[in-house]
Amino acid sequence: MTNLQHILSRALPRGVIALMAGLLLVSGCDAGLKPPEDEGSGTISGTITYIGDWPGSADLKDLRFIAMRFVPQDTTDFFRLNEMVISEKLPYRVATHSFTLQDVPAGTYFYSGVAQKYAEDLLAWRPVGLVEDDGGVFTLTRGGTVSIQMEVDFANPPIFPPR
Amino acid sequence: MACLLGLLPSGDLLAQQVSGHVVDKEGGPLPGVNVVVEGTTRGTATDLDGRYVLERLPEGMITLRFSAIGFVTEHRTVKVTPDRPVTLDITLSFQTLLADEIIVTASRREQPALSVPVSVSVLSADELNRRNTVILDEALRTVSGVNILGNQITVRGSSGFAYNIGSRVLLMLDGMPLLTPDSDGVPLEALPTSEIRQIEVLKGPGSALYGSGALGGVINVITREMPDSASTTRIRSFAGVWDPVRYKVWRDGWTHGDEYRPFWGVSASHAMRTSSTFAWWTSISMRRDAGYTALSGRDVFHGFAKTSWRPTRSLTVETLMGIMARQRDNFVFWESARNVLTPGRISFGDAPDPNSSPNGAPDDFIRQISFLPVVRHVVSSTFLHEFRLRGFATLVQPIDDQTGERKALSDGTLGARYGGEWQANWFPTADRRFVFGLSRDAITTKSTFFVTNDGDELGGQPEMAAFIHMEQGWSEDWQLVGGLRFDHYRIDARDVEYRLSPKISVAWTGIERQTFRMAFGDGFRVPSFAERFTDNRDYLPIIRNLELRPETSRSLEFGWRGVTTRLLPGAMSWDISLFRNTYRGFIEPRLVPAEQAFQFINLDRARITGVETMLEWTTPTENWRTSLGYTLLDTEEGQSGQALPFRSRHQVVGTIETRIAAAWRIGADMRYISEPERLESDFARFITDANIMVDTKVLDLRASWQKGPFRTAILVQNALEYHYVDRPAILGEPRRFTLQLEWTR
Repeated sequence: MTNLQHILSRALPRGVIALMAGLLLVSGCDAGLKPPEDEGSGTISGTITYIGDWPGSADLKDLRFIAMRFVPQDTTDFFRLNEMVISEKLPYRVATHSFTLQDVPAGTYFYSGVAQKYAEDLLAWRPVGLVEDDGGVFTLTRGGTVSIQMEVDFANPPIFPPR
Repeated sequence: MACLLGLLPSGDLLAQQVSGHVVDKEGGPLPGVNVVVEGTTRGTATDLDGRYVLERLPEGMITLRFSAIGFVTEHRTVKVTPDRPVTLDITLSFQTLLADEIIVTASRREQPALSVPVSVSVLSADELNRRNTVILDEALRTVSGVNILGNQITVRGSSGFAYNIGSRVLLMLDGMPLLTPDSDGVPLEALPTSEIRQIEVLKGPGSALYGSGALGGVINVITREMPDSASTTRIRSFAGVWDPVRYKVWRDGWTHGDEYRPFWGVSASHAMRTSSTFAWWTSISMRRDAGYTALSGRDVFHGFAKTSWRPTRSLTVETLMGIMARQRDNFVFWESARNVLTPGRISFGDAPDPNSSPNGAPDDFIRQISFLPVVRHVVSSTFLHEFRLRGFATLVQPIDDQTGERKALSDGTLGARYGGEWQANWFPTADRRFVFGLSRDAITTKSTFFVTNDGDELGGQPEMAAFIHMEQGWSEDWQLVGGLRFDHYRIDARDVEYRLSPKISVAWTGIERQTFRMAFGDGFRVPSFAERFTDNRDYLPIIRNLELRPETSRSLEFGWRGVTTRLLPGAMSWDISLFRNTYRGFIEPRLVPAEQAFQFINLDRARITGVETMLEWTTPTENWRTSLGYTLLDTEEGQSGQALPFRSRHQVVGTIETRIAAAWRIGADMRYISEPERLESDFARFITDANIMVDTKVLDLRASWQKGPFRTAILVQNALEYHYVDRPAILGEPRRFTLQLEWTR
């Protein structure tokens, strides 16, 4: 056995063990995936005022309040279901309606309002009234309640996508 | 004094000794070489200078056996006399583990791994056993350049996350493609892990030899050989528990979150040679796993048998038959990163009723049947040919989530892949070899998940191919390998695909025990039935795409493989590869907004460049065994210039083993996979926190004890309780403890 072999035969296992021990230490400090902090939930209390005429039944397939944690850029953003809150179906042909959504994940909501489904096509949704106070942005804190108001005018819906 | 003198060895006894030095071919002393008197328990080992002494030997002729891992075992017969001591110096020829490995996947013929001009990794049965491998993916995760995402294998980044549908790696059993008719990923559980002789992983396109599916690589699972003489029986069992996960928040989310969840398995095999012409082995195994998340339990049963009949010296008939039955829950995605142990549920648009929404845990009962007969005829010393038939059938019955009852087969999938192949090996001269053949296969599937072009649920994909592989040496140092395969696929009644897949490689072996290689080859993959025809919204909404075309790859690789005994005592081997793979028509799942569903589409181009290194060292007496592998991937999607999604840039795999006493061995395996550079996924639009990925850092520890026919082992997998994401929205395996018992006679 050469001197080099002799040295390496002793050094290599120790080196590998040291490497693995190092990895152990590094890994031991880092437990990997962790549960994210619970942001908690709050309540959204809303009042909708309807202006003007209601559309005919053929053009009113569904009506819901939707609060998004982002500003949508096109209709495909409607699929970001994880980042939005959707109410139950809203009642038709009323002058005003108040609703309460509980257990809504806390956080900031950037784009919220009433959405109308105007045809059978799954993507045939459009906003018909938006929350406009404070630029339409509100923040829901853990255990808190946010009160919002919006007006819906089926004849003059907001521009979509928003500018 | 007389008594003391009486205790000293007599002159006769001193004379009855054999001593000497053991050296390698370069003259270097070999420590730790076992020197045993055959037929006795007498023996010793060489010291650091390679010197040994055996004393008090019986008078007469004895045979000494000199053995060490990595060297050819030598036997010497000497005459021991009381007159004078015998000096016997031995030179052992080097024979590394790598050189021992004979592989078949690279050229469809047996050849030493060292001289193969492509990248191949080999996992032996011994390695599988040491790691208590019950599913193949556990072993494949330790191979450099190989990663597993769910039930999909990716070799050098060839695949990302594709919703468990389709595979860019061809899985073969004894050289025959094993992809199931519904191509639900790679059917790793359908393999008889307890009866595997070795697994060969060919890295890079292999379509020139194996056709569609071998786009990113080939995994060939080779079953055990027949016994030479006496029968052997082996009973192996294991039992263990999944450790509850580290975080209380996660445990609280599931009723059984605080429990140690059990798993166990037992397998028995028997091999026998009944005559000089007939031998067989059979194996049955059963495994039950409660699972570490809700709805992730499974029961698996395997039965396999192989027969070998050799009626004449030139004719062999082998038949492999198997059946696998599996009932499983199938955890598809989690509820959220705060509730990882409970399957999630998707709410689409106006479907507030949770019972009508896709659920994260479709369950099924699957049976798979394999029948693989081979007839091999050696015509002469330069020509042999063989006929192979193959038949696989898959029967999938969904399980009703509400009642737990199996639904009718008509609500599931009935599929079959069947065909045959003729292959000839002709070696006209020592340095010129040809392998060529023809194959014909068909896939038929009747499934409620698939709707074919004409709306018929019953589909067929007949395939025909002709291939030729040539090897030509033109000096002692150079070898040229070329190959070409023509494939014809009928995808459905109106679509036919033709492909020509070439390959060429050059190997230079001008330096002893080293091979420099350059390999170039094409690969392709016809869209699987599932990718093209799946039309189902029960679990994930997926729609069919009849316009889906085959994807292709082109690979260029430079490599250097070698072994040496000069740097370290024992054998050190290495394999270094530089590679560049380009892909066209990459098939990836994308969301189709108009349909509110996913669809598999062809992307334009993609490129993967990388470096892969593997280093192994084993001491002569196997006191130490170490390996370390590193893979670097640089990926790019053609149009966007971004990295390909779900590809990790760095992967490190390492193993170290040592013997701490005569019967005890301890070892550790580690793997590190960096977080994917890009996580873009439409999946994350629906599944909460599906865009969360982290590095993978897993350390497995093991200790084993062997005495005679008994072997027991304790394994702690993921010993550091490191939590990672197996694939989007699935928690990787947490820590588990396993006790393994084995008896072999």
